[in-house]
Amino acid sequence: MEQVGFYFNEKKCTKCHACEIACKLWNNFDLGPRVRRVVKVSQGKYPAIRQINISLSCMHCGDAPCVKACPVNALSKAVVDGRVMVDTASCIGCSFCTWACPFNAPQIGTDGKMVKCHFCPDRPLGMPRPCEEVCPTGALLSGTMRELDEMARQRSAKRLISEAEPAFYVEV
Amino acid sequence: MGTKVMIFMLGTLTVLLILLGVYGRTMDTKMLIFTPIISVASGIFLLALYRSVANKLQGIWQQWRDTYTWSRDDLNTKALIRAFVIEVVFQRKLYRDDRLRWARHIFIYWGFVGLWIFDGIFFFFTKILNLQPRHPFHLFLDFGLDLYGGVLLLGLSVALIRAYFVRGSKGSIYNDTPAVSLLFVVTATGFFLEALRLVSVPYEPYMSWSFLGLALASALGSLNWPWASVYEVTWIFHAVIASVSIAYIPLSRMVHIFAVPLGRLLESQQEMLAVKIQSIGRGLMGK
Repeated sequence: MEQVGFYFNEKKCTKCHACEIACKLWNNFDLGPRVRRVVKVSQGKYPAIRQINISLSCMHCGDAPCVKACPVNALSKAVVDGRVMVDTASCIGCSFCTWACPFNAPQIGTDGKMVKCHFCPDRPLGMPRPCEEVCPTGALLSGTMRELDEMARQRSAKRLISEAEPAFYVEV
Repeated sequence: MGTKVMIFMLGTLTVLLILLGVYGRTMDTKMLIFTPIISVASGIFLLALYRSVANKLQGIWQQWRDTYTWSRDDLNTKALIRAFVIEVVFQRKLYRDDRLRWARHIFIYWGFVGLWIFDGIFFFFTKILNLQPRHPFHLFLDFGLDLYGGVLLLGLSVALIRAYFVRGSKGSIYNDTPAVSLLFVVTATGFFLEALRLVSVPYEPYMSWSFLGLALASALGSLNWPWASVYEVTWIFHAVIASVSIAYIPLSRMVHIFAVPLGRLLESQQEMLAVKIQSIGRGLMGK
């Protein structure tokens, strides 16, 4: 299995939210849930406060807690590329996955079913994801973890630390 | 594994002991068949509910305690109560999404809840306290059981009719036809049994409180069938299919009747979700 993931360069991000819009448009998602969203993360107390923006979506974790939390086994991890996929027909919309996810990535759509990043399976691997393609500064990249790992080593980026092993690197 | 076996054994034993305590001395063939079946079904029900809901929530909670700082004072009680009333009792999300879906959910949910409450009270007063059939409270219970049973049957009928019309389309993702059909058969045979009980004895005015059962009994009365023997067979069928459905609910998508209300209550604690996002910063920017 060649796990896929994302790489995010915080220094390049201009908070334009284009990635959010591209995700919604490409996948024709409802107005409500934001499958990809740029969030502000703060640290410290005034005046020693620091804030960064991160473009978050499902990180297709190696040991995905959402998969374990689903009462009806609607979530699964693809064997080929490690994407975490949801079977909409089985989903009961209980939102246990949202609570299990360290990044609140799965969200309940207006139709009562869970919706999350599926790594755009209608795009072949190697081709940029819509969120990545639209980013004007190239802050967001996708690829296999082998490729991203190599890039992270060169640019001294950090892999998000969590027991869930998220497939996500951040360059801060 | 040990916990699961213990839950199954305890559930089975509890129901078995209750039934033996209540019916032990007067146990007839029907109860001899029903008692072990419903006991095992209840054991499976509790075990499956533990596995698919309690165990999952326990895992989520464990992860919370290990990763984030959260105390009981952070619980937003007001939001929790509000979510219970609006999202669990009145199911506002569904109402906003689709009125028909909401209506059938409300009928099935409240039909079920009402039926379980009335059934529990009925069991306690008639089997343990020996409340007489003509007692006003007994008549009130008869009315309540028919009313909520009717509401449940209506909801299940709407669900089955809808499932038929949306089959093969995108709307079919909400269907759980096997579980709904099973519950429909249980409820319908319950009414049929009530009608058979009433048609087997001469009419008395107090029977009017079981208004749906009596209406069906009047229809059956025009047919000259040996209803007493049909009653025995239907009773066993109803008892077995009801036990099967009890065991099947937490094994199917029907588990949502427990999981979704709990999820709605969790969703009310939005501050807790925000804590998770902010904790990402710890790893990236240090303390």
